[in-house]
Amino acid sequence: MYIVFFRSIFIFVILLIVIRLMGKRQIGEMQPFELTITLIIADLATIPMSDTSIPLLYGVVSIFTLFILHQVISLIERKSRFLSGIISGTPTIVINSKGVNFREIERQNLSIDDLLESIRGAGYSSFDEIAFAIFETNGKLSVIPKKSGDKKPDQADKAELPIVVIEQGKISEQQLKVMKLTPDWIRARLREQSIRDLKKVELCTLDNHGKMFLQIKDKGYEVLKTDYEGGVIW
Amino acid sequence: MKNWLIPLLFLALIVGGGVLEQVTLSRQFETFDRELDALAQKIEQKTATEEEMDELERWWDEAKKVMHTYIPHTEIREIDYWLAEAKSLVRTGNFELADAKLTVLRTITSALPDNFRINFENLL
Repeated sequence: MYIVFFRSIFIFVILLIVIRLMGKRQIGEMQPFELTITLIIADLATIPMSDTSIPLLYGVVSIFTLFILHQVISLIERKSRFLSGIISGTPTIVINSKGVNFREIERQNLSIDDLLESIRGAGYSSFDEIAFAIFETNGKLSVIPKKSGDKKPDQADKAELPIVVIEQGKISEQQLKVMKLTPDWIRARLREQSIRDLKKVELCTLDNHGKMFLQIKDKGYEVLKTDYEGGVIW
Repeated sequence: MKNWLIPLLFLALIVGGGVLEQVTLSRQFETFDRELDALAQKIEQKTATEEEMDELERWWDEAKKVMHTYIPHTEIREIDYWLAEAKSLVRTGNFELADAKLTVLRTITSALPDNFRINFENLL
């Protein structure tokens, strides 16, 4: 029983690593760990069903193990943004104000044709209609169109792209790094709002216009305006 | 916390079931090994009888009912096969060959519980 339990964990981890390495095009609407479970669970259910020489308990133990793993990973994803990034990856901005980000496309094992296909799937026909395109962790492409009908590159700046910088009292240094901001900078903004205890901040997002969405525990939310030193960088 | 009740229950079932499996396996096969050792001595002295083989077979038939839940049935069938072979040879008085069959059976029964212990070789 323990052998089946540990082997199920081992196979799960290996498969999850391989799926993460394959990039986002392999996933399709599921988180990598959910796809891993889906791939394994089908076989686990059918093998003991069709092969009568294998005790049914082997299938049951493996399926229970996967269920436990699912719950544990869901908890990790909720509690730690860093570990969540390792397990499920992070959203990738493939189109921004400067156009297509080829470095990110390559990192995700995608081609420009794949990107075009996803864009068409989202209802757009050309790159200049799009302010931001983001490959989500579940492999789906989210498109944020330019605000006006104008297709000039600078129109991208008019679209809003909020990024979570504080979630349930935890500052996401990784996200701040992408925005070329520091934890001290965000703490200083919070102090301006008389907030000294980070634990009180349930959610804080920043967008490329300097709009700050700030939700405080038991107080609701407010939308503030802030300035970035050196201008918008994402 | 509510979300965690069922996974914790499953984990407890796996851990508890695992302990039960290891304990039952060790006990059953220790008894089986002892019985086989005693029978091997009798076969060597050519005093083993078909009734004694029948008695061992009956014990094994009872023991394997539980074992079917956690041991692949092919492994159990293998023991059935070698036990039946040894029994038929004892019946015909061919003790030398019966001894050879019993040696195979003893090797299988001493190796089988090891296949279910947690160690590096079994995990890979």
